[in-house]
Amino acid sequence: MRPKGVIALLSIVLLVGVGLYFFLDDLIEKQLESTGASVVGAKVEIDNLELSLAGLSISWDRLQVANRNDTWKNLFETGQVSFDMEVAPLARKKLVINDVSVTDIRLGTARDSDGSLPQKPGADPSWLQQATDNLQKNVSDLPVLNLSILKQKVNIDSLMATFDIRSVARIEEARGEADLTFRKWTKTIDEFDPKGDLTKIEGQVNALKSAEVSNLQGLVTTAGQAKDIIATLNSFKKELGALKQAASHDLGKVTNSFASVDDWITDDFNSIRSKANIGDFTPQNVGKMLFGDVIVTPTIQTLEYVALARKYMPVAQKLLASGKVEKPPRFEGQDIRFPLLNAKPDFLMEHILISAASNHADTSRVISLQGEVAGVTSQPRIYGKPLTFALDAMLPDSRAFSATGALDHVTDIPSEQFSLKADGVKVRELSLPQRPYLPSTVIAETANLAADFSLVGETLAFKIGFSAKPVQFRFGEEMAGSDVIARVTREVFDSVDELTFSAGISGAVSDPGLKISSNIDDILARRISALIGGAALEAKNEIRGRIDAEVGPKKQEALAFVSQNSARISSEVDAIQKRIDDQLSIVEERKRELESEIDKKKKQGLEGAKDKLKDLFKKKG
Amino acid sequence: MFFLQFISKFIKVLRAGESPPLVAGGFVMGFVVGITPLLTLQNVLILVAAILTRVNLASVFFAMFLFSFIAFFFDPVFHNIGYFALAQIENVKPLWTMVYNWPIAPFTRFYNTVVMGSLLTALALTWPVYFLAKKGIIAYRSTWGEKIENSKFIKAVKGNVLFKWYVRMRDMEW
Repeated sequence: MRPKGVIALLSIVLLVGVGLYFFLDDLIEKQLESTGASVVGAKVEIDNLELSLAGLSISWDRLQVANRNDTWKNLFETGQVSFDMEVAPLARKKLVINDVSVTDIRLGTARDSDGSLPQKPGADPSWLQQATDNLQKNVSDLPVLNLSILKQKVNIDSLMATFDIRSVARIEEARGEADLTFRKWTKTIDEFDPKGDLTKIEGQVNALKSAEVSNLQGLVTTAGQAKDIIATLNSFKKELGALKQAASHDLGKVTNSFASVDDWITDDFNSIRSKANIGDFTPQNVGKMLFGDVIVTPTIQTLEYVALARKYMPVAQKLLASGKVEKPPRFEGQDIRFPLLNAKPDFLMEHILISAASNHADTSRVISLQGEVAGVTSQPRIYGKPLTFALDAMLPDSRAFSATGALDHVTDIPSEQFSLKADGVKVRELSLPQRPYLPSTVIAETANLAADFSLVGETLAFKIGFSAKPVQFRFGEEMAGSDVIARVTREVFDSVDELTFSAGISGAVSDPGLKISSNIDDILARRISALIGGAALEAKNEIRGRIDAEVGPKKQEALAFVSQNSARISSEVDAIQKRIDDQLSIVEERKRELESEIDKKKKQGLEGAKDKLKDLFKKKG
Repeated sequence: MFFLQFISKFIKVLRAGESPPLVAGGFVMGFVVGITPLLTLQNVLILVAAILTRVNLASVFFAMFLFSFIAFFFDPVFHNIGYFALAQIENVKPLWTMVYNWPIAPFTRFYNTVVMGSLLTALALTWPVYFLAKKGIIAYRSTWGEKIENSKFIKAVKGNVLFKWYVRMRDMEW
């Protein structure tokens, strides 16, 4: 044993121990803050973290998590928290906490400093960016409740003067093409070859009809001629059939091109109507105008947190090495994984008890929150159970909201399901987006709410049902206005005592559709339509009338042209066919007569021969 | 300067001083630590043993320094040996799985191909290295040292700048 060595070793151990004692807490605090910030997307600050190596427990005096959507406020902050860690997993750099109780959470507290982090471009997944853009577009594309049509008459004359009615040109163009088709067929029928031959055949048929043949030889020859004429006529008939089919096809195309005339006129009408801004005022638009932002904003926030959960609780993980790495970096090699019995995830908080309250000076508005969260882990597949939570939120003198949910990332397809329910809760004020003529706030005494959010893989289904009674609508000063429309809308909203609306956001998460309907849709839409409907309808009718007056004669003339020429060409073809059929029927009739004559002659010839033969035998006998 | 000190001390030890088994023992310990990746439980234990026992520390650190360089060139070979031992011999997989489940397993990093490959190589070469080191020290002290110093080559080299640096190192007082 080397005494100096023992002293040196003890000195090293002592130095390491002192270093850990003074600096380990800070190191862990910084590491947790950095990891937390990258998860939340805003600053995470821990005050006075202490690590007890003896009991392997961590405690802190205060934890602040900034709200990424309002960085001068905290999402929440806690008071003193302490929890124990499992010892064995620490050797594998795994942090496993079985139970933690956080009893002093305050929500939405103000911050002393900005909690934002430097923006990293492209940090959000593409589906989230697309979903955000499309949901915002759903709301931003809504028409403003612009009822200026009530105040100013649409100047149809100037509108029509600047608009080029395209259907006239399209009719002319179609007429020109039809004319070319008719010319082509007129020429084709005139030059139809069998027409000259048909005249000759008719001469032959007449000769055949009048031919007087008495002997058998003559009859056979004439019958042969009839057969030849029939064959020629059949060949003409076949040729004409092909011609007729081609003509029918071309004439059909012409007719079809004119079948779209009404659509062209409707296109012109819609274009002018759009230019005149005479849109339809549907009830669905009102619902979206009022509650679109109210629904879309929390949906986007929820999707942002789901995206974070999917990033930090990924579904797919390779547990075992899949094959040899041929050239690993020098001195690093390749770690070969073996099955772990009772494997633990790298990070796991099995059970968290929560007790929180929102930060309001007015105690009547403080929301208190209680509940539990289970299974917060960085490796759900290893843990084998989904993250679940059940929270109750309460206002003073009100029934509770209850929120439950599960984030199941255990299987290959991630699934997030949340539901929020409230019966008879006091809502007080609900802010609405600032829109001209529409209220800015709704005040509800008691309300019922049911919301179900589901995102399975890439399929989103979010349904919200809300009802409140009695309700009062308040209008912002700058948006209220004092004209007739403002008076009407205020009357409508003042008359509404109960508010019910249902909303649905569903479809592919990158491009979800938004539907909102409420009971005030119909009331408001009826009143507005009654006001704007007359003026709009009058303008629409006048535009339609002007278009019909300009396009109608052209349309009628073109249709008549097409109809006459089609009929003419068809009748010419039919006339040729009739000539062929007539001649064919005459020749076939004549042929049958000749064949009958031939049969008769043959029988007579046979009887004559028999008689001669009998006479011959009688004479010999 | 830390390593230069150990090189100087090692050169002195080669000429005279501690017994060859203690110098060779230190050299072998340094060999094992040097040829394998440093931060593993087994290397810490070897270094603790070197500090606590009477092996020559200069030879430990000199060998560590020397074989760390050599290990760099053999790294791909260690990776292949380690991968073969860990992943391609089916019969020992239950053993590795059992060891992998020990709480201290992560500190040994035995499941790493380079750690396993270099450790197996070091263990296989422990006795030959010890034997050769001991013989080499004895031979250097008895015959080679004098012969080498009287050779024409060395005399020529003694005028060289490098040699003067060697002498300065050798005679350096720390």
